[in-house]
Amino acid sequence: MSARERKRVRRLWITRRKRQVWLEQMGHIRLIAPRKLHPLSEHSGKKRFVRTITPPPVLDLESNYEETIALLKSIRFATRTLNAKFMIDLKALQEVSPAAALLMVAECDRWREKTRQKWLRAVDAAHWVPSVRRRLKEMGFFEVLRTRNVPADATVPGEDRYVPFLTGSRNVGPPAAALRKSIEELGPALVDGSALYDGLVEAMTNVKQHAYRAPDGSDTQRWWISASVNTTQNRMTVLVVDHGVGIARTIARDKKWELLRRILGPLVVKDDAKLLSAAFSLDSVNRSQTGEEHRGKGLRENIKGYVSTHESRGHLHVIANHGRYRFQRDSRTKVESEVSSKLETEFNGTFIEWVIEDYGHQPNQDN
Amino acid sequence: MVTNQTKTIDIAKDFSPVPAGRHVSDGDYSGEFFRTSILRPALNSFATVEVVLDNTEGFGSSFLEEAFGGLIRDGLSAQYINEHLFLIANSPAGKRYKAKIRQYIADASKLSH
Repeated sequence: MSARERKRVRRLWITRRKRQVWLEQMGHIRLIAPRKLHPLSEHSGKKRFVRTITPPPVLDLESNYEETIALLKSIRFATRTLNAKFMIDLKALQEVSPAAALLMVAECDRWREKTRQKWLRAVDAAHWVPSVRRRLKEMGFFEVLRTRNVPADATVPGEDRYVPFLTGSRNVGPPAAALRKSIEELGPALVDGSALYDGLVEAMTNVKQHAYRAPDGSDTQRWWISASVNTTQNRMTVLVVDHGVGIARTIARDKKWELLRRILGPLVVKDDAKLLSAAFSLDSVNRSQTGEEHRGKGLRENIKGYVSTHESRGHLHVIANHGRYRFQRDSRTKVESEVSSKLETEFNGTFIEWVIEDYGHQPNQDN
Repeated sequence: MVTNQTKTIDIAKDFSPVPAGRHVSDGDYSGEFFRTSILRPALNSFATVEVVLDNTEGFGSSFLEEAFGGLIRDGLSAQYINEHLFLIANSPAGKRYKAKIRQYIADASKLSH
């Protein structure tokens, strides 16, 4: 076979392969985003077919993890393959947890970033469930969509209030301070604001270490942070999410890896849940003589430390890759518990949540 | 030239009220930048250096370890640092950071041997 013929065969093979991939992708798209009839506009009788992703009624990382992650993955897949020509029918959404709301905001923010020339639009926002709409609005979802004239939903006494999300990739100090300020504008001053700042800046600084070059060219060094407070119950939730490689993978790449392999055994270190658990209790590793032991203190001292040193009750919830880790502490009973579990569906990135009870204090008692 | 004077560095006023990050690539007010641009030059030029830890938003471990533990990796001994560097903290948070810094210097010193 001549060189010219070989080139021709190769071109044909590449074309065939591309077509196969496209067919596979479209097959998946038909499943996750079937074509549905939608009115051309709110006042128009005419309709057209639009690829539509329908979320599950409840988005929650605790009670409905699999379906929540499946929705986020569907949005990302559709963004990539349909070049943003699809819609998410948020009328179907009945309930969204703060964590799931931030994840969806982050995903749509990423979608907006990828399709700068196009506008994402909120369709039928007036028909969304009011509590879902209020939550998303307070978090800044409609700023991402650049939607104006969103119906105002009255705050129900006793319900959670949300602070607008912040995003970035560098200079983590000012946004951490800004988040604290936003939290304090909704309620009392924080009991230990500096400990929250320490946890936040460490979580955001870690994102840089989790970064990699994504196939779609998106910036994986970005983080998104938000919070909610319930002043009636004196409870605060603070959230950090990124789309990097995830803590479990980061440990597997750094210099503690060999030591972990020796301590936990080669089979155990493939378990992301055990890796996460080890990452938050690696005191012995840090004191050892291998690699850069001066690094990696932030996970335990600041991220876990915000709960473990807080003079009340609280928990830390971390999801990364195929692992989930939860640390709980009640300073009054001195009871601490630590649980890690394996996740069937991978979380692409790292999610950190602090839930702090009795977060607010009288003024001038902080620090 | 080392003078007999004492240099006081108030991190919140002289550096930033929002210090964070380990390396310069992490942000404009990282531990590495504080050490190389303020702390180390002060230790080179003054007999004693006082660092005020109060009134910042906080400090992540990365910042403190790189700024103070990094002095050991920079070639100073723990003994020299303890004799020439004084940490000032009046608030409970500041006192917590002071204890951490002492620990990071001791840890870095152990690791350097």
